[in-house]
Amino acid sequence: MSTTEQTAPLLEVRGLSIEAKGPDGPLVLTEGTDLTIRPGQTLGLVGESGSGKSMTGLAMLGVLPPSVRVRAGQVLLGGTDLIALPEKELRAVRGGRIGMVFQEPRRSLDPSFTVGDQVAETIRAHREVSRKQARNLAVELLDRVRIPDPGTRAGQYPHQFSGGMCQRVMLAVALAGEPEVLIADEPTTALDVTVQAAMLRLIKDLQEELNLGVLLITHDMGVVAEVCDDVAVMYAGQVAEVGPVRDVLSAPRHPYSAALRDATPDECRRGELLQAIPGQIPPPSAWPSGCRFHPRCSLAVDACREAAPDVLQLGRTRVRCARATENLTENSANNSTNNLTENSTNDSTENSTNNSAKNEGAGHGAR
Amino acid sequence: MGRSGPRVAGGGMAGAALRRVGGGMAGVALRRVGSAILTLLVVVIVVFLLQQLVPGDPAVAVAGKDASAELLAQIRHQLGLDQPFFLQLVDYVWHAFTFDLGTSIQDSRPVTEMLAEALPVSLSLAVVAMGFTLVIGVVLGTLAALRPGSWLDRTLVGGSAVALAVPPFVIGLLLQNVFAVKLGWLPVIGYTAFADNPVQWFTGLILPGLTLASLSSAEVARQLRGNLIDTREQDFIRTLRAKGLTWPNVLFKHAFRNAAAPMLTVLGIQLGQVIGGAVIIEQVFGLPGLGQTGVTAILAKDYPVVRGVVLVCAVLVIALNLLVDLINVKLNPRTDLR
Repeated sequence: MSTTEQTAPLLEVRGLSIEAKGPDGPLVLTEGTDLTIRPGQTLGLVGESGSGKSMTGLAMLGVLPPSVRVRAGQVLLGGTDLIALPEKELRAVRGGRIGMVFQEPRRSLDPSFTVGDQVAETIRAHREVSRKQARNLAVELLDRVRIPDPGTRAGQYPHQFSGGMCQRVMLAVALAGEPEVLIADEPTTALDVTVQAAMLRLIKDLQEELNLGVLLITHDMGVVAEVCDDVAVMYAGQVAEVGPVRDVLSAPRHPYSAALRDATPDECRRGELLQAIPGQIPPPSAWPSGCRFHPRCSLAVDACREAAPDVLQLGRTRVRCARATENLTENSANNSTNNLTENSTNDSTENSTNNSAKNEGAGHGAR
Repeated sequence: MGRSGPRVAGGGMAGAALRRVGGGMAGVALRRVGSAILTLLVVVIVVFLLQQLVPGDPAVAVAGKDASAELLAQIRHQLGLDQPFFLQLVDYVWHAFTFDLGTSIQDSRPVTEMLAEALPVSLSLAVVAMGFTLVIGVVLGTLAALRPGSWLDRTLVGGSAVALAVPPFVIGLLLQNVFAVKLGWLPVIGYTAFADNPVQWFTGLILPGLTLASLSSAEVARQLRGNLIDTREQDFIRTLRAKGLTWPNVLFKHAFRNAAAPMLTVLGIQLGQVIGGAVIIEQVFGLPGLGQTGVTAILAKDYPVVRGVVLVCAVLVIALNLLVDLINVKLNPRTDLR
């Protein structure tokens, strides 16, 4: 992984706020989102369901549902603000400069057309080629996303494909316009565990070949750890913490990032109880005052309840937490782990390798 | 899975018998044809049984109330009524499949000859009515679906509810009174054969065609509107937008293709209604079609003709439904999944 500072940004989201029509006036879904995607790099946008991460992805392409709209902010692609772009020019960007892959691959393809047609149609929407050329290019693209026997498969319908194969077709559709940016909204969530890794590998390989900037929207910190260069952690419509994956995962500054990391099976050491974050993410209509995470935060103090925290730049990460400078998060992660594995309370000073060795037997039953 | 199943009696049995035919589009088509033929057989038997259920002796109808017993016996023999019930049935079915439907009691003409005269009239009416249904239904349904909840949508939905509620013959009389009698734009009654004068053929069928289409086009418009609105909310529409297609392309190529299949099924059901409705509408507009032939025959207790009319109507409905099914197989790739 190269350092993020090296390359110029490809796509920048600045102060993006999204609102939905509600019965009692507009309802704010996301607020002040800042993201940067660089060529050849992957930014993970991670958060629980309802955090606003998918809406952010849709807003970048201007394909929000009818009742949802951008309230403020910019999406800058090579200096052009996509939010202000007229529909006709935006259409050239959609599928042209930015490709998008969705969560439910099978439902995201038109059941009444062959997959070859659906890829070829995208090619023809963005490139001046004949019908026949488009068809040949479509077969090439299907081959590129490693669909076996692409010539035959191009003539088949989505229902004749497995979920993983449908997602490969979606990827071919997303790449048909030769994009610079790929937005992947939970691309592996609906897939079998066995094909998830292959899918991520494929995205990674294509990214290297084409020097794509990738925005990977996911709820899975394990996926982030595996494929992302940077990560933005989203909570209740705001980015809680954003920075290089290594920094955020090894030393999360925001208690939510820490909790999310500890709630990931991959990050949980053998023998330890998998952490769950107490409570639920509130709906946009019930966001608390002050810091939006404070009702679920074990480190919350009165200040967190009273005032919304500012965004602080700490090293290479930016974090939205009033107590981020106190460097409490590292301890808290250990503390909460220890509290839950009761028999280690006396050994809190011991190193964690010892702890996990001791708890191995009990932990297996717990998992 | 996506198989709607034959809508007429005998289909289940046919499906089971023909399952061996195998998958693929041709297999599905073959199964549909097979079940249509079996349905036809059932219809012929039911049409025969119809006669047994009707009160009154056909021989009396022919010879009159005061006829002697010998005369009645002679007529019964001529009509084959003295044969055992089962033999009569086999005889009827056999002849039906060789296009011999007996002789009219009233006119002493072969029933098939009478039907051959009436059929083109009814078919013309059905074709024109279905044409109107498709054009009006598709245009209105699409317009309404473009902006759900708009004044246009609400007007069309309300209007279609009215069209469905008013009996077709009332609409027919209304249209006839305004456009033929008052304004004199179109003929009041009568039929011109297509071969004689295609223009007059069409102008004569505009009003009865519109009358029949009023009901079915309202149904088709409602169905298409609903399907289009549902389809627009599907995930794949978002993909189509995200890959940079224009709205008209998304709507008319993709959404329409997906909404058309269920609409066709409704159209198939409407076809049956149109043929049924034609009986009354032919009376209103003085068209010498199957409906008029049937009504005259019923009043005269001319049962071979009645059976012939019922049979031809049933065959028409089966054939048109088969056609709709086959188009559906072609339109909906998931049909051949089984």
